[in-house]
Amino acid sequence: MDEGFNNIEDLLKGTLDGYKKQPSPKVWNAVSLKLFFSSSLFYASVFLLLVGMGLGIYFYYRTDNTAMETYPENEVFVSPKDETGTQEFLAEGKPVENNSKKSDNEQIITNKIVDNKQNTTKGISNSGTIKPVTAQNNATVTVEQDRPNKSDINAGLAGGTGYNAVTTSVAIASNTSLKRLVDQYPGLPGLNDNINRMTTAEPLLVNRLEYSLPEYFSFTSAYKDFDLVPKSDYGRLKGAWSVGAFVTPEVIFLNDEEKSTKKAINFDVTGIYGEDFFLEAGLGVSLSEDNGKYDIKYSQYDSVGYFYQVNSFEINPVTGEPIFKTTLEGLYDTVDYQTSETVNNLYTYLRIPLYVGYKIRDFKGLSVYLKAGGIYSVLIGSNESGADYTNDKATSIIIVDETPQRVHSYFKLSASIGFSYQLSNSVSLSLEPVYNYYMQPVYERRLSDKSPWSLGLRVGVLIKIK
Amino acid sequence: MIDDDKIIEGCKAGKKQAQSRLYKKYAPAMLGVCLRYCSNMADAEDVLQEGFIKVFNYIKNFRGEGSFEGWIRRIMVNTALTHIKKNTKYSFEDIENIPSNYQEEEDVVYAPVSPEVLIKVIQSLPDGYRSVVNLYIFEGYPHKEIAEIMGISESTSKSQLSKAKKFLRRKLEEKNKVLTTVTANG
Repeated sequence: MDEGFNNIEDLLKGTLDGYKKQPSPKVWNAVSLKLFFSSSLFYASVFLLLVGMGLGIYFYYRTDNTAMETYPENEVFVSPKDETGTQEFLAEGKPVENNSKKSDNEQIITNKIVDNKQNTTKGISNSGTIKPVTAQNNATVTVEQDRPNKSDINAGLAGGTGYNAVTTSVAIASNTSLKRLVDQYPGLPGLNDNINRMTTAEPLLVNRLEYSLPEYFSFTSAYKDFDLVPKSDYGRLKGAWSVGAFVTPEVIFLNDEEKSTKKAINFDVTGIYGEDFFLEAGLGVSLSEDNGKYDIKYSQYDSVGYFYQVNSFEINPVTGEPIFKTTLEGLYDTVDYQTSETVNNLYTYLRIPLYVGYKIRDFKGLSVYLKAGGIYSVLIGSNESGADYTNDKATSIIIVDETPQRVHSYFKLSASIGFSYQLSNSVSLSLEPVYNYYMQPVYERRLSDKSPWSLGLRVGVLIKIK
Repeated sequence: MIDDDKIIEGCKAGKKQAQSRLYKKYAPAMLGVCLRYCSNMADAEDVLQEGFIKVFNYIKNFRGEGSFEGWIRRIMVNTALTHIKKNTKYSFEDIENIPSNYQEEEDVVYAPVSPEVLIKVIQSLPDGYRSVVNLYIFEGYPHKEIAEIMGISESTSKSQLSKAKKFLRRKLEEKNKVLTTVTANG
């Protein structure tokens, strides 16, 4: 084609047909990312994650329930503990036979042995000493009370009047039973001692059931100044499951040449599972403001200058010079103008956040934790304003919408350092400065090669549900 | 070299490797197409990205009738037109005045010019003119179909093509030694 082309069509076709240019790598990265999020693999991963979490939770609580079911059948090991006569009830899972090797002043009593009552009585009459009789009486208390009913336990938990109710219900039957015994066997010093000691601050009993109860129901902490939250439990969302509601005002840095920023506000509801390590997932809505831009080109019949219109002239008789009679006339022509109009638009995204976190510090109800994860956002609504330009003098108006189109969906990485303060057993406040990095531009029409990033402050309430 | 059929089958099965191969094979040529329709590289890459996502999403509908490259190309052209329409609503603002005493096409010979320069010249056309030039000259659509695609009249399509050609010619003329003008009689 060195000779040239005879017409422009040949030139264009001959030169550009088959023209190739290598695209930048980010195009394929964006394509593959979008394909991943629209693929069944993504949905399968999310499904498996949810199923996995569900199974984990199911088995976790199922194990707990089993522990409740296998609560020992009123097997109580009664032992005079020290020289001062302090006694301790220890719930033992061991069979009675194994415990029979205990020393003489230790006795094993179970409710299977009906004769125990008689033995007890015998013990009282035979020895008349304090220590063994005390022990036996304690044992008798246990015999009197069959295995504590679940309803008792639940009643104690639901009562919410303090932890004593639970303690009494689970381990020592009821005060009514004890009083009945006192009435039945007046003058049994051991029994009276025990009844009295139940109200002291010293923990008396350690029960197997305690292992399946949250720590704040335990004997070891319940008697200490009636702290609502045990010290070891400060700042901790123990019991694993919580729900949270959060609001996050956010400033988005678009990373474009103009270094422009946009504002957004996010509302999330999430579920949180875990203790020191935790998983957080949920749903939310994001309202993001942006500017729409319209270029307006219009033509208008306008003044472009002036000139002197010569209406007549006459000759000066003295000098012979012409004298012109003129009027000033304006000069008009069609003039092109260009302006622009900026409008406020609002975009609504559905957010699916997923985080993994780790609590790094607990101190008096205040927890500090680190969190990282991702947020997948899908555009679900937009409120775009149109250009509102009127000009009666214009002969033509061309309005070109220069508003960049938002992407339908995007993914961003998120990292935060969080602070939570536990107000009560179940309610905490949280505050999280958040950094987000967008994996792709939020506009279809790229304004910048660099992805946006944002800073936000996530504020919310966490409620422990289990 | 793996043939298209295997790549297509792989893409239909959602295999990432096949998708990557298909992209590597056709992306450069398709970017060449997108560059003709868009006014800059960033827009062209956006269209390319959007177009390839459509290719992978709809590849199951490709029945092997006709050329595969032609099928991809049609998707890219449609995506480009949608993109232009969405962003700027085909503007046919008046391009600079063309002197009425321009010689007829038969009187001139166009010297070869590099594709990059020609792409730049085409990109300097307003969107509407550029689309008409592309659809008529490169895709071979008649004015009637162009009018339907773009939502304009047939006569508008013809007149815009004529104006666009003159505009291109003048732009090429401005680049000295690119355009050689000769008289009809030599």
